Amino acid sequence: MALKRISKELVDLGKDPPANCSAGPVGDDLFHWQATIIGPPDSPYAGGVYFLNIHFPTDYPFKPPKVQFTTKIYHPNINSNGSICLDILREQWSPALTISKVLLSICSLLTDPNPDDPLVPDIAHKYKTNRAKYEEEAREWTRRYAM
Amino acid sequence: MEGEPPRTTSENEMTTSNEAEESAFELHFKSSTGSKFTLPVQDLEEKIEALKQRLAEPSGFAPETMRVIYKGRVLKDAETLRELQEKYGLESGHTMHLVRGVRPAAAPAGAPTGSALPGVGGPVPATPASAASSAPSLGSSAGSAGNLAGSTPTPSSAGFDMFGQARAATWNGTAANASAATGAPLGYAPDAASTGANVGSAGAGGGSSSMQRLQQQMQQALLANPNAMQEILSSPLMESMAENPELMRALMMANPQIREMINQNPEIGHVLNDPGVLRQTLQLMRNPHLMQEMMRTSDRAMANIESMPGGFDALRRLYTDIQGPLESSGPMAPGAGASTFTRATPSNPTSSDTGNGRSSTTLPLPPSWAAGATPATTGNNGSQMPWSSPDLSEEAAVRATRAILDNPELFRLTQEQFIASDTFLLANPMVSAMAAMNPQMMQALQDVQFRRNLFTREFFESTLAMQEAQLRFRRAIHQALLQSGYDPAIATTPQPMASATAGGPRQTRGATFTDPTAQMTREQLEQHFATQLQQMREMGFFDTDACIAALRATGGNVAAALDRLLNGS
Repeated sequence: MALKRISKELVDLGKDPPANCSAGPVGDDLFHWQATIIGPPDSPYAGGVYFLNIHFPTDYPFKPPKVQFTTKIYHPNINSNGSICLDILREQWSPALTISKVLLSICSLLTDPNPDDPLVPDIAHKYKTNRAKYEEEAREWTRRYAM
Repeated sequence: MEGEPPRTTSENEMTTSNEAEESAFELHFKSSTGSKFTLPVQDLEEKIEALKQRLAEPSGFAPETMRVIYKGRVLKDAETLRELQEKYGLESGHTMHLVRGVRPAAAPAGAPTGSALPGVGGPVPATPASAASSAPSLGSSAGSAGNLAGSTPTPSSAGFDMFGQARAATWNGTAANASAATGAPLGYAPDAASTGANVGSAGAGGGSSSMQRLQQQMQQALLANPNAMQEILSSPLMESMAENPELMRALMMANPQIREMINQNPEIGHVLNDPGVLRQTLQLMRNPHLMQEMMRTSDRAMANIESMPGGFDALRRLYTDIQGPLESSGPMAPGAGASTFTRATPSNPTSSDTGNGRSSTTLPLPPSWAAGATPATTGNNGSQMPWSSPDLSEEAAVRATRAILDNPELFRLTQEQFIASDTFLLANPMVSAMAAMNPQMMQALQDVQFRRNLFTREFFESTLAMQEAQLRFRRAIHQALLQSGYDPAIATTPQPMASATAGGPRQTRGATFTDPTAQMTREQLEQHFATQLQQMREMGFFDTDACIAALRATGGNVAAALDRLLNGS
């Protein structure tokens, strides 16, 4: 079941990937993918290319995939492990969601961080109180780690 | 995906037989600027390099800065479309993404990104850049002092190493390199662990070997010449650094790991912020004899580990094998960086366990695992462990270990004990957590051959040597603290090191042979394993007795216990 669904997603992604995202299996193991997200142009991450690791659980799509950044990123909802604080990856997961939608959600999270549910309080605080500084920092990290 | 092989062959036929149909192979491209276009492909043997040339015009990106992304990977110039077809199922009508990379750094940046792809890889290219850029910024102050100070604030690279890369490099590095990583923080650790970060970042620069080499040379030069070290340390620069709590604070806070530690334990923050402590520790470092002794012992220990016949290789294999999984697994991902940290806070600083034979596997880890681990654990040593009085039971442990090593018969028995049972290793919370994260690690631990290779005499001896060095080190710190009017007990409050949990460092080697849970009643056991049992119940294992038995056998490791239950052993 999981395998079938994952294969289908792979085919769909090949044909029509979302604008800023790309994903595919790492090796022969269809349960382990890698993905790239291109920093959205209207965000301080513009110009960066972010790599992510995706692990599908065996009971996918009934359980959410585990998605993690492997590229360092300065973001209130993404910590230094690359873990992402995103509701649809946890309690709000629905079997109707696909990797493509997840990646798109992550893209939109890059454009619009959610400082009220932060994973890195420091960055969230900066985002709220000193937006310019946050953007500067985020751009610096993008330049440093994602280009 | 299943449909691929036949398609590939049909595609093959196409190229050979039907040129006209071949031209129907086309690829769509989406550029990061938002534009979309389609290119026909005549020849599947076309290299990405050539494709980039063709893409230059429609995309507006220069071929050398262009990056082509397909299925989550950045394509390499040398790859052909045919390879992509065979490996990743490229088909006509598929879409690729185009991004503009950085121009000047393109050569170094492009190459490693490709190789970094398979998950483990972080964005390697950044490290050299950041290290290099931070050095000149502070490094104007004369020569080596400049380097010492200049390389300190590289939070970016130190923080970055959780995405590691550097790990393999450090582990594969020479003993000297590794010992520089351990030795140096030992020596400087009191210096607010920021030097730990410094060394760590040197390691993290694994990708940038030149930077690493430079630092290494610098360090060796410094070690070889205590006077230079002394001069640097007595230089007004260091003095003023130590006198300026704001600067030190800024430097330290720049390191995310230290920040985390301070957040967890504000007292450490106070201690680190006190110029008195810093000055004292500087003075301590000015004593070349103490420094050298420390360096020498750790050097020897590292050399011993390396010269171990099978042990080193086994360890190396083990740790390269587990890196990937470690990094990709969420909570452990900081690779022993943050998590060693958090783990070490409630239990024991990793390296302080060393007297305790069962945990000896954890010993070689910090330098090897990760540059991340090095600053983290040594940061820990520097700030937590040393403040406590080096107490007698630890010395007793050292003596007991030595006695065992001196008595061949006793040693043989000990060794056999260690080889015969995997529980000694698993009883250590660090090790068991690692094993839980990683089945390969678990397998290795359960492999008698691996243990046989691991527990050689050299291994125990080097463990002992390290422990002794540490003891000396702690004594020195203790004294320094007393002199500066601090209560050495403060930082140890979170949990005294002689915790009753498995792996407490104060247990002598002899004590490790008894299962810590051996004397417990059933109720105590149930309490002891309450969380694990709860977890197991949630997974549908209701037989408490069987669960407890399995947990005891696996040292409280749920994954291993489940494995045991399922395999019926």
